[in-house]
Formats: sequence, C-alpha cells, structure tokens
Amino acid sequence: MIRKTLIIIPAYNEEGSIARVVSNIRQQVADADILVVNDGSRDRTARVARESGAMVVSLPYNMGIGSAVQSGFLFAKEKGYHFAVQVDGDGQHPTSEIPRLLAALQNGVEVAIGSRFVQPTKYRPPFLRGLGIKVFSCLVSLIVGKRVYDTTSGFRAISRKGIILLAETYPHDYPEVEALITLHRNGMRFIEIPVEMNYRQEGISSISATAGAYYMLKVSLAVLVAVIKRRK
Amino acid sequence: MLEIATHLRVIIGILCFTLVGIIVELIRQDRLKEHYAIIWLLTAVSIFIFGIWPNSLNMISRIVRLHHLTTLFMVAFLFLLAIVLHFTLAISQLFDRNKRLTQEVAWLRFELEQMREPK
Repeated sequence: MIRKTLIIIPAYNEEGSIARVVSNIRQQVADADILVVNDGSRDRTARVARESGAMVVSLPYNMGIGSAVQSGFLFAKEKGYHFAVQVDGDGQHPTSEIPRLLAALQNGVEVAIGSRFVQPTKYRPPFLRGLGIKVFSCLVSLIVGKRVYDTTSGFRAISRKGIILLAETYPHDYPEVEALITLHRNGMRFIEIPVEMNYRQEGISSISATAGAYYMLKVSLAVLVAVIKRRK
Repeated sequence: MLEIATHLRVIIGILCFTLVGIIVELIRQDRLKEHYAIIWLLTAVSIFIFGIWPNSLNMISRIVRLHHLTTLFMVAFLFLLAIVLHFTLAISQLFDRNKRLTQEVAWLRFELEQMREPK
C-alpha cells in the first residue's frame, strides 16, 4: 500500500521564501504532495508557489495561522492522506528533517514535533521569550504528565488519526500549545524530535514584544480551557 | 407596599405589548430567528409582570435587601447581561461556521481549478 503524505505550508505574504521552501521539500521528500495554504496574501505567494510545483489552496481572506493550517488538515482528511507535515513558509524549519519526523510516527505515536530544546541547540531565545517558552513547557508537561520541551514549535508530523481530529478542532490563533492539549485529551501520543532550526535573518517574528504579554495570557487561558473541554 | 400609579401601569402595559408586537412581527418577516427571540419575549413578559404586579418586585427587593428602585435596575441589568451572553454565543457559533465555510470554499475552488486545467 502506498502511504500518502501531504506537506502543509501555511503562507501569508511569503513570496520571497516560499519557492525555496517548496523546492527544498520536493528534493528532500520526493514522494510527498505539497500543499501551500495561501492565507489571503496580498503579494504573489500563490503564483510563486504554484510555479514551483506545489498545490495551492487560497483562502479568500487572511484567516490567521490556525485556520490556515486547519484548512490543510481538512484537505488531507478529505483526500485520504495517511500523514501530514506542517512546515512554515518562511524557511525557518529544516525541511531536510521531514523524513525523520515521519519515521517517528509509529508504535502508536500520532504526532512528532520538531523540537528546539530537547537537546542543546544553537538557538538562544531572548530573555522574555525564553521565560515564556519555559512557562508553557512547565504548564503542558504538568497537564500531559511527561516532559514536553518545545510546545510552540509549528514543525510537526501528524498521523491519519491526528489529522482527522485536528481537521475537526484546531485553535484559531497561536494554535501550537493548545493543539498539544487537544491531542493529549483525545488520547493521542506525541514525541519530540530534536532539530536545528534556521533562524530568521530578516523580517520580524509574528509575535512582537508588546504582543508577547497578550500571547502569554491568551495561550495560558486557551490551555486551561482545552483541559476542561469535552473530548471529541 | 409598592404602589405604581395607574397611568404608569398603562404605559408599561403598552410598552410590553409594543415590544411583543415588534418581536412577533420580526419573526413573521423572517428577520429575527425564533431562537434569539425567546429571550426578548421573556424580557417583555417580565416587564409586564413587574408592571401589573409591582409587589413581585417588592418581594425580590426583600430577598436581596435592596431598595426597590435598585432592584429594578438589578433585574434590568441581569436581563441585559443574559442578552449579551446570548449574542456572544451566537457570534461564537457563527464564527465557527464561517470558518468552516471559508475553508470549504477555498478547497472547492481548488478542486474546480484542477478540473478546469487541461490535462
């Protein structure tokens, strides 16, 4: 049986980097289909992505990262893919590690997370962000009952069972941490695979310093809500 | 004993019937969903009860130990709170449906483009 894999790349105004990301994946994961979810970009993201050989689903307006990624899960679910991998469109995720993430999806593991903090890597976050990362790590570890290091990584491979769940329910904004709780609550196992990310040389992070406080509050609340939410 | 002047009762009565009339008419014209109208009808009925039978307000005042005017405001406030909560619920539901709809539209458009493309 052929195992179908879908690489999901959410992209909002990424015309500068999307072609490289797509072509890297085509070389490194030759047998996977690539889906770029164009999240209402105002630049040429969709065209560039299509020309570089990806399938492109364009959302009619900017829905936010969570809804964009979920569109990808919905696509994977409907088209019967066995595995999905979510990769950022800005090139910071090491696409060469995708096969390792996929290989980890066995023995009942439904999600493999490309993680920056399992082993010491070159990444040194600024103080406040580092603190936030630690807080979430503690919070999630406490709920899940095992150590989770990198809760905010958006570089993940997901099995069919996980795809079906996340197509049904996926957080809207800042989705990564909350999604882990949703997965855990629905009995899905996940593991972390250490990876070295490429850090942005230019451009700004989607989370500015002032938004950081809001981010912390929103995600903490979302996590607590996710804990008490009814199972799907 | 809480007394309300007769003319005031008439005004309250007219107000309630007008409110109920407007709501029924809106439902009839399909501009208001029955589901969301229930809370408004309840509001109208309670105002009516307080108008016709002001002592009900007095009883509540005694229970919560407030001046009856303050009680009136409290009751009104609780109703507004309920209505706002109701709206928020409606918006949340609409948000979810709107999201799913948008995702499906994007997906269907993709399918359509695929079919149109010369193979």
